[in-house]
Amino acid sequence: MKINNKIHFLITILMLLVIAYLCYQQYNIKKNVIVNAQTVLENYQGFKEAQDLFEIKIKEMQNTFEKQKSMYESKSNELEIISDELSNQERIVKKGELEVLKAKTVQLGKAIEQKVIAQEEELLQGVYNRINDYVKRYAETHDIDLIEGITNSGNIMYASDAIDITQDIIEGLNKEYVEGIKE
Amino acid sequence: MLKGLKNSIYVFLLIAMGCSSSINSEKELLKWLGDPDHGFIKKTKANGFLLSMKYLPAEYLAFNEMKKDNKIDMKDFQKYVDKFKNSKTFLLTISHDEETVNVSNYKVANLSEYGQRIRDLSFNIKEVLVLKTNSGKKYNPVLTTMENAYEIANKKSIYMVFSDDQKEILNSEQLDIVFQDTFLDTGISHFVFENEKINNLPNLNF
Repeated sequence: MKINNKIHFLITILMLLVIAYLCYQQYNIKKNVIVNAQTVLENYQGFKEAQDLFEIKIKEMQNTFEKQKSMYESKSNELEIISDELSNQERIVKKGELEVLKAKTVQLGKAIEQKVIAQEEELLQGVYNRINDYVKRYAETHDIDLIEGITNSGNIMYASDAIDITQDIIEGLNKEYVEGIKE
Repeated sequence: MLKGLKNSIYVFLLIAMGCSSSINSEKELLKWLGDPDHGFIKKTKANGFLLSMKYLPAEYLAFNEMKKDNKIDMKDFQKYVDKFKNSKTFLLTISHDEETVNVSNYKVANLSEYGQRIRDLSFNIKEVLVLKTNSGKKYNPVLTTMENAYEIANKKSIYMVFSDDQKEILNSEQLDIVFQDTFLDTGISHFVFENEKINNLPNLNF
């Protein structure tokens, strides 16, 4: 009877140790998740607003260029019409003026092109920084060790839905975009 | 019976005291304004920067102005409040996770860029700050001022005042302040304030 009790006691201790070990393993398990970066970007309110803002700025710049271009065209047409009435000297002067205007128009076009690229980069940088900042805080609060960003042309062949946190990230990002953070 | 009634009155008084909140010192007021649950402060984070927008009620501005003018008579208080009640004042404070980084030195390579950054923060910031009302109307601040901390702290604060003749800003249910950042790579930040909350400042007893 006494031996039986001892065996029971030992088995219980052993079982408790196994359970404790399994809990410890579970606690220390590395959490890896995936996020579809393209889907996050497309559904992020901040990106949509930045895009709208960018389009408005592009339109403004295009209008400035169009004005300059139509000014050159009308001056060019004007010269064509009055060309016969001008003396050689006058024609040379007018053509010179027109060339300067043409060069200015081309220069403006190039400057606008560069500005568009710079502004696009600036807007996207802001959006990416916002997403990255949120993702980092999400990982910290959810004890995640690795968040892998997948793209349509990426090299992850399969991932279970259970580790896909794309929707969570989109919802959290959009909520924070409107409500801000509490800290 | 009488004892029961007495107890009920005590309970009622306790509840009433709990409901009618009041603030007894400037320190308490600042603490109260800084509590996100009260709706006077909104924060957002991006690129390591913490951006916090605080609504400064007319009462707080009046109190500060009185201090500057060395007025201590509370009879003058309402006059001072009236000076501020037709506009909305906010304070944007920006700090960075790293102590060495701040608004005036982020991505600044030389003295000339530093000068440009200070000019941007002092004057050009008006163009990238917009207040949107419920009806969709947009307003730029009528005044912005950068608080000079002489580079002591890695925090920079910018005061901004919004005002309009039609009182659209005062009557809008929501005030959405949008900061379209062009200096710090933090993108677009929204700070949405509920008028119902920011018009609900407890009584000041100091």
